[in-house]
Amino acid sequence: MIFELVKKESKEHIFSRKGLGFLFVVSLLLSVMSFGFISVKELSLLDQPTVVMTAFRLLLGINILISMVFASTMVAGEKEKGTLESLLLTPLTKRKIIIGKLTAILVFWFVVTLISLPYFFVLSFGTNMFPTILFFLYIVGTALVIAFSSIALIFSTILASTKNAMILGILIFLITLIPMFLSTTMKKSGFAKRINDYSPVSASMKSMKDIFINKLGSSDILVGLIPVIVFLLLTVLLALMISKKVDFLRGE
Amino acid sequence: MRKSMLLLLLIGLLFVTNAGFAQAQGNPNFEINIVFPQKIEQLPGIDTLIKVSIINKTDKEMHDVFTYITMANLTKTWTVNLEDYSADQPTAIGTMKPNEEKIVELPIKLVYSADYYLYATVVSKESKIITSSDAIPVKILGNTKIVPLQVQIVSILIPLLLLIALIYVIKRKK
Repeated sequence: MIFELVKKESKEHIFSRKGLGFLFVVSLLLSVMSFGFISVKELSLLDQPTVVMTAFRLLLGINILISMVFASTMVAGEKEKGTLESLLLTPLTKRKIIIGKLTAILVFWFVVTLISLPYFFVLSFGTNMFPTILFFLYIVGTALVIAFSSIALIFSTILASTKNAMILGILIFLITLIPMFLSTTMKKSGFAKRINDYSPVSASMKSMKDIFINKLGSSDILVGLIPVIVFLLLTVLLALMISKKVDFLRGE
Repeated sequence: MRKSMLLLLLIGLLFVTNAGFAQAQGNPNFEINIVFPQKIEQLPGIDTLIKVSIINKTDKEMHDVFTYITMANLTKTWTVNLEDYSADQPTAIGTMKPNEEKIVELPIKLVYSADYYLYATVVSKESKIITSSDAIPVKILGNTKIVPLQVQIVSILIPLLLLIALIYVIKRKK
């Protein structure tokens, strides 16, 4: 039964106009960036690890946002359309509904990674970076996508409005992005330092640099990824706990 | 006559001021030289140490002395930042006695492919005269093996395929 739910959601998110539109936009952005690496003078001076890292940042940023948009519509959207009732009448438990919806987001992410693989292949051509790219894409990327989608899903479950769930989810994502906009000096003290130390996005970016540029060992990389792992566990656990709240709107 | 004398005196004073300024630039408090290496040609990602010799040329103790590296990117005509390269990261030397020589090793990371000039600067809180060493050439080799044709094919083909799929879905729904 859960497989049927995943199949239905995946079909809606991948083979619909909206899903294909998103995939087209992602590929277009990756194409523009890849073209830039070979044609813009400044970008063509970059070395291959930096090229791959820049493409990664773009792919992760866009996909986290798209996944959050999908996740925020998953429960609140069903409430708004009045289709949640039929879903709750199925033999699926509320927890399984949440797991099914998260799995559907994961399927969408895997399709996106499949589209991005040719880009990463040509951008890392002639180096031995491709296996590392696969590791980063499927382990770290997947963890971040699931974690941020869980946050959006939590808001989608608690709130009755898709719009509110989306705004709050994206706001949390933007807070974790704060260190990327700050100077080195600002990141060394106060609130900015706290966010920089604990932000899963900062940790993943630092790990990426440690892998591709600093060439650190696996133990250092794993230690650096601790905020990502903790963030993933916390958000998924919270999403499963909140699943009890998957219910009709008041008055239904 | 008095006016001419005054004018001559003023011109003379101007020369005295200028001579003092030139003297200060010509006799820096420190002598700083890059001992090793004399040239760097490496791939990105390498960490290396720059050995620098600093001599206090004055006859008094200099306090709060520190030194740092600057890397000028000749390709882009700008300097590199602390976050990526560890350049500009000051190394404290402390107090230096008259004519004392100290050897310090400054770390630097090679990051982006380009041609650079690397030089070290020594500063003391007690003097406004800043001394820099002669530069050594640094070449961070390019390791880009990207084939432009491959990038062009992928960048055109994938969005095109997705666009065809999108048009197909839109037409089928109509």
